[in-house]
Amino acid sequence: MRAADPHHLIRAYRDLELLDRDGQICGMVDDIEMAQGEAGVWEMTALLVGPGVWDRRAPRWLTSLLPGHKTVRIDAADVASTGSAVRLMKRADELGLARVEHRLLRRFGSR
Amino acid sequence: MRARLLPFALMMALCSCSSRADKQLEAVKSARSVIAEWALVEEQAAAGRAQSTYVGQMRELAKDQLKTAEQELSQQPDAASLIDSLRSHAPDAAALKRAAGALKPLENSLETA
Amino acid sequence: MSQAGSRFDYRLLWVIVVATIGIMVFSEMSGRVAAMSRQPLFNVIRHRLGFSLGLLTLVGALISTLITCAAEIGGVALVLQLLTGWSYTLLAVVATALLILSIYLLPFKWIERTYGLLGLFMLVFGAALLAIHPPWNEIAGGLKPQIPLGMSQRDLLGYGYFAVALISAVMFPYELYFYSSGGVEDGWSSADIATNRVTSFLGMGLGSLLAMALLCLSAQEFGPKGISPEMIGTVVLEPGLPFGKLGILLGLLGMLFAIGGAAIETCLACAYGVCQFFGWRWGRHKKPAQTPLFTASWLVVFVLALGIVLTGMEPTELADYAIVSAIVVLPLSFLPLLLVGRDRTFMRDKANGVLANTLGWAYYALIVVAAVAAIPLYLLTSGGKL
Repeated sequence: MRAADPHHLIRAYRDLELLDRDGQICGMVDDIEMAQGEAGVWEMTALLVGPGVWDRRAPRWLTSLLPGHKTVRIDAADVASTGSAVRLMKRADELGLARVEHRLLRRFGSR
Repeated sequence: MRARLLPFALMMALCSCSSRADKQLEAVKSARSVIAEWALVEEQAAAGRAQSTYVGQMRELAKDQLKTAEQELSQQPDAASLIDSLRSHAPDAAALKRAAGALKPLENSLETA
Repeated sequence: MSQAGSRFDYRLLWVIVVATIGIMVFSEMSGRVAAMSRQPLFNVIRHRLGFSLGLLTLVGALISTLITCAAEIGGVALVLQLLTGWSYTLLAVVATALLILSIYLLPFKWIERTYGLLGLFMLVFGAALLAIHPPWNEIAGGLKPQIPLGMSQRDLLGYGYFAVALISAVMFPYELYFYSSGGVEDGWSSADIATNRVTSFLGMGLGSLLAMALLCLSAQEFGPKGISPEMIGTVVLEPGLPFGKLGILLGLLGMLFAIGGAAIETCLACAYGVCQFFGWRWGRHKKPAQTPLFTASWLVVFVLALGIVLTGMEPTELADYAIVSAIVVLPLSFLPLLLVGRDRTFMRDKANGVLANTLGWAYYALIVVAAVAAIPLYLLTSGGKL
């Protein structure tokens, strides 16, 4: 997706639910990477997911309550569409998303 | 810095509004209501209109609630003594209503204090 | 509710009516947003408020909803104590275990049917109100918005506190977290807009009618006797006075299942909030093993709520804290709903019309005023006890 105003890109992706290829919830878009291309048009280049991103989004005293430091980077090519949620082209485990959940599912239930 | 402290200062001022007289007023209002509730339960029990389990439990719960009020009213010996005697005995509805009435003057005096 | 009636007769009835219209407006909006955007309320909160403010809202919502859940578990334990005579502490543990088993083992439709149908025993309070032939003209007078004249400053503050408390009690935010999540899970679409409207209006309306009956019964039966109910068990004397033992039994059973059902709702609302904010799988129709983090979340909520109960705090005291903390969180919970509700990008032709927008923003202003006034009024009136 491209936009003249970077805020439009942020609004279109950030803090939306992520759904994988099978329609399963697999996280939230915690931040995005953008690049400015020709004619000053901004383009989303990657989605960033995980607690590693939270420190730049909220005060330290709030995020220190939350566990984890990892960030998963999802390339723009793996993003199928955006709307009220962001849909991905691959399954969550192929992208390294929802690892804790998948571990628990393997242990206690089915996918 | 001053602007950040203002909400906390206001909150502290509001918290300190609850004086000893207010705590005693709260305790005597609570005690009067609990005694009146207990009296109503005893009336229903005497008329055979309440289950014995319910009545027994309500008596115990009322005594527990009155224990807290009695502790808050330690500076009001007459009231504390009245409540203690209710808790130690098995008063009927009439005795409970008289006791609730006897606490009314104290409530009035604390309200106007 | 009962304390409001015994202290101020029918003069706070209008507040219940006003608050009910408010929760109908926001409930309908949350269901419509769920149907059109396929997003439950906490997803909307995070998207509109951002991570930082959204997280603050989540923490506030979790605290107030957790306290509410604890008050409800304590309430269930107290009712069981009045029915059986067993130890309160033991019954709190038993009640929590039964609630956990209900969610774990029963399909959600059965939970709704069991607690919903058996909660209808609460209708005995409505029957009791009819049986005591209350002064209907005075009740009608209480429906007019008013600030009674000639009250002392203490009574005026008390009136203000109970007005705010009633608004909070009717407009508890967890109701919308639960309702919107249900709409998403049931796969609501634009075809369900009419169903959403009927469910919002009828569901909230019936609940408030019962609340008004409780207030009127208390005004008629307790106020003249100098009773401002301090004990939960006193409330069942409202049907007990006209109907005797049967009234007490039905009242207790109604309270048992109504409060029990509410405890399940508040617990799941907490779990919904956490999972929706962090993007974990959730769902009450799925098996617990299919949604491990959602299952862990609601189990933790029940354990924490039980822990609060076991500290010995009275359920009525917990209810007071729940009411005050809920109204403080309301503005942050409802603002995103208003913003998305009028956004045609998500809502298309089902965006807020003039009426929904006008009522929505008017109620939002009321909620903000109530939220600002709540804590000072609580402190100045000692939770309505002075």
